[in-house]
Amino acid sequence: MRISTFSSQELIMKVMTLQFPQASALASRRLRCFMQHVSSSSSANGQTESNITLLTPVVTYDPKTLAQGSPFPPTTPGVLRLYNMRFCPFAQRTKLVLEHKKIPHETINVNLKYKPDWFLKLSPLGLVPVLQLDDLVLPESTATCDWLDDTFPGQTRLTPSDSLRRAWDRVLLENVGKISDTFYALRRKADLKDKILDKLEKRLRWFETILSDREGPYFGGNQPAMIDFLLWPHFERLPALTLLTSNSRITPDPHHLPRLAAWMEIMLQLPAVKAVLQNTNAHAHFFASFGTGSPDYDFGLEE
Amino acid sequence: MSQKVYTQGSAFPPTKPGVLRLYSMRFCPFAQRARLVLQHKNIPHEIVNIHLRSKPEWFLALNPLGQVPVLQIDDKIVPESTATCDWLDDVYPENQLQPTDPYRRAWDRVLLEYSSKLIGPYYGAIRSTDASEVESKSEEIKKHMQFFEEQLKAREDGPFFGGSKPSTFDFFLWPFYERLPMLPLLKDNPALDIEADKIPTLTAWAKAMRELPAVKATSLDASSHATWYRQTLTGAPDYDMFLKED
Repeated sequence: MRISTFSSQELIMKVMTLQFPQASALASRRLRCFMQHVSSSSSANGQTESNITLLTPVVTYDPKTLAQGSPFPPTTPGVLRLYNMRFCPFAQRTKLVLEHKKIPHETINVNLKYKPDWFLKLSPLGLVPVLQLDDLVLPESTATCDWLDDTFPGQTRLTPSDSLRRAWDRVLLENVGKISDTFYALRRKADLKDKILDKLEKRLRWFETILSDREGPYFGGNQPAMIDFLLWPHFERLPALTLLTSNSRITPDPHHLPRLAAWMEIMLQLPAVKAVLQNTNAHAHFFASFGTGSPDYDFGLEE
Repeated sequence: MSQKVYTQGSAFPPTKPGVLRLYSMRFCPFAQRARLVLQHKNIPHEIVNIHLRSKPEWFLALNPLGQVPVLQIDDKIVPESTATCDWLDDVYPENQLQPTDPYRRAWDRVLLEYSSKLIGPYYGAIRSTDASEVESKSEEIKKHMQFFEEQLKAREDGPFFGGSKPSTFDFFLWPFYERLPMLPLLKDNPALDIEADKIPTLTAWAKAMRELPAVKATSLDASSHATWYRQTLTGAPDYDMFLKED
């Protein structure tokens, strides 16, 4: 990664050429920005070079969710934006990659029950995560994560270079859906609770088998790979599921799923994971609130 | 190699060193994805068809997940339709399928994830005996196809999602698109058909797809698909139907 800074003269010239809606207030804020040129180089599989200039955001938006009726929070040219929801496991994947790769970005939390019109206009699918950078708009957790890794390979390339490993990481990803589905299945079909939890346990054992065949401690080896971050949000929520169902077979422990238990412990030590983490009580609370039809999107934020 | 299905209790057909094998099922849309890529990239391979309601023990040992497609070559095994297709494209260079541009690749991923929405209503419509439920699932499918219509139109470099040549996503979507005309036949309800004038870009796409040798080699007509699904609903489908072998 090449990083260069500009003299204040050059900076003022550059800023003056940027377009912004509300001139003076934003202009003075932007004069405090410094530009980082983040250029990505061709990676091993012959991708074309992309030169993307990212600005470090100075404007910090309120983390409280924006709902229908709220005005569109203005974007800043050159600032990467993540549309997020603090309890969404899919958006968490993208946030983890942003944090781990130390990619400068700003975050807008969206009320997913009462979506702002501007959000639906931006991304008709209406889901988080969505990345926005100038006229680039990209939804979907795996697409955003892969694009970030391709565009900013830097020193933390997350996609494995070995094609067989890449294929098996894809197999892992395709199978984590059964874990994330458990939460929703338990709510929809409460009478089938035992059957659902049996399936979950079987799926977790399968993950344990795959991880046991790898050196570890991460699925990626001695460093986390993309798959570690794609899987993590779903595993982070397992202790909350244990709490909600009083079922001890769910959360991996050293006795029945030792490799997964060790993996969870080491993941919890990663700065990126810590930065985005919600604790067990928060997850349990959110999940319960979701079930009542009034999701508490801003739980944990100070008034 | 015989294309007849292997069932529980059958002997494992020995592999040969260096020979790529696909475990498949002739009517499975997910397995068809892998078959399309193998054909399109001219990759030599053999096919072993599996009876999915009476699986050989050796197949479950190979892939505890128990599903097709699965690729096997020497000691390497790759299950899952998307993993197999991407791996084939990574390893075999002819007729590259994955886009090189990261933004295009990312949007193909968006489309792939979106296409998984087709699966629920598709199988739901097949299994349901309630005519109004079938119609509502068919409406869901039509809505999703409109999304693909708009996305393909927006790309402006067709006829394929991949541009002038197909990409992996074209082959991911094709098996499901191919099967949509069988639903009105299966349910004896012409209202389930998607009108071609509602999806002109997709209709042109389908025409271009049908000219591909890979599609010609792996596709079946709507009537054959309907016959297959009709049999699955009776509980004892003939996995070897339409096979001409002695």
